[in-house]
This record gives sequence, structure tokens and C-alpha cells, in this order.
Amino acid sequence: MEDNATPQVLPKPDQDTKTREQEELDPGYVVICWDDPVNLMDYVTHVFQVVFGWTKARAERHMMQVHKQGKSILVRETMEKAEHYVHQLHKYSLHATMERDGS
Amino acid sequence: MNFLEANDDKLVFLIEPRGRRVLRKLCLKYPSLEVSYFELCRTMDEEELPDGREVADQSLREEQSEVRKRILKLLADESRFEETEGFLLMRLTMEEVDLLLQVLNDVRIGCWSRAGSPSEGGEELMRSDPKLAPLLAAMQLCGFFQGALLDGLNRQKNPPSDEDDGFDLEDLSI
Repeated sequence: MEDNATPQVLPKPDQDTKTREQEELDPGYVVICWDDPVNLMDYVTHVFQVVFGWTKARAERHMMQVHKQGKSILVRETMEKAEHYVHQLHKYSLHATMERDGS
Repeated sequence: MNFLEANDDKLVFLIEPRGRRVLRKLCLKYPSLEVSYFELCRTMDEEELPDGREVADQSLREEQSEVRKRILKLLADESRFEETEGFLLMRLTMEEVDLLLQVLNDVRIGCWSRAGSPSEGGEELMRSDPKLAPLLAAMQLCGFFQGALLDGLNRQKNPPSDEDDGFDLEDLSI
């Protein structure tokens, strides 16, 4: 650090920016995979293993939940990470969305 | 097409020359799904959504374009295929199998979407409609190839041990 550093006054972030930044760091987003009648069960298991690095048993549990209950919450994450996972799942043509936790 | 063996980090599939041509034709349909097919969320308001949706969509399109080029090049690469008694041995890395699965699934879901996204049991309806029957055939072919690829991945990850051949005399109540 410089000895004679001049103190600087940083501009105060406006409320909207602050709120947005807080939201982005908040792990209050869930990634949901929804059931459809067309994706193969083994394929869905494979995708969960690749995208989340899960064991086959864990991936199969979530796949079965999608199949039987219509959806499965896959992960709770920050906005940025949740968005990343949703895009990854879309790349594999799975029907996935991100939602606010509890909505 | 059938999975044959895992060899030097590659999965070997047995495929007929005709099967190879069909596989290529199916891959030519990729990407089949519009990027707009995918929704990012169901319950959040527009202003709550992350910024840069258009950038993400463009990125997906570019990635799909690269995958398409790579898969078509792979299927045209003669060094990947070895002739044996009227069949071909096709060698793929795990990553290539994963890409091929992505491509075939996109084509499969695209056909389903174009057929009006029928619910379960809609196959009979598709079969009897001359406009929908080709879509059903493409879906079934994609499913067939996907099944073989997934079988290869599963058996590569969980190879059967020499002692366990899946058959146990103790299981027979005789």
C-alpha cells in the first residue's frame, strides 16, 4: 500500500444497483427441472451427472422425482449460478427454469 | 447400432453402413429447437430476470453451430470407422458421445415439438397421421441411437466384473 495514499470518496451506489448486487449474491434461487413426456429417463440421469457432477444414484433420485412428481428442485444457488445451470440444462434440451426460492 | 467395448479411453460401437448414413441425416437436422423454445423462469417478473438474455441466446446459437460442425466432421471422418464383416466399428471419446447425445436429443425433442408436443400415448395418433409419421420415425431413430450411446456410457462407467456375469444359479428356485 502507498504511504501517502490520498483518501478517496467513492460514489455511493444507487439503491437499485445495491439491491441488484445483493440479489445476485443471495443463494435464494432454485433450479427446477420439469417433467415432459419425451425425454428419456436414462438421458436425464446422464445430463444431471454431467452438469452437476452427481453420482448416478443421486442423479437417478432427482430424475425419478421429475418423472413421478412433475418437477424436482435440483440446486439452490445465487442468481448467476442458477442462470448458468439453467443454460447448461437447456443445452441438453431439458425443460429447466430458475425461480426465487419459496415462490 | 450397439455398444461393443471400451478401448483406450474410447467407446466402440458396432454400426451398419446404412445406420451411419441415417445417423448423419438425423444430425443434419440439428439444431432443431428454436432458442426461444426454452424459458428461463416461470414465476419471476421481467425486471427480476438476469440481464443479458440476448447475449446468452446468441452464445447458445454459436455453441450449437460449433457442435454441429464438429459432429458432422466426426461422422465424415473415415479414420473413426473400421470395416469388419459388413459392419463398421465406430470409435468415439466420452465427450463425443455426450455431444452426439445432445444433438440427437435436440432433434428428437424438435420433432416432438413440431408434432404439437403430444402427451404420453400420442404415438398412435402420430403413426396414423401421414404428416406426423415421418416425425415419429425420426424420433424413434434418435431414441434408438441415444439408447446405444447411453448403454455405452453406463457400461464404461460401471463395467461388469469378471465374477459377476449377471446370472446367479442361487436366484433359480430349482
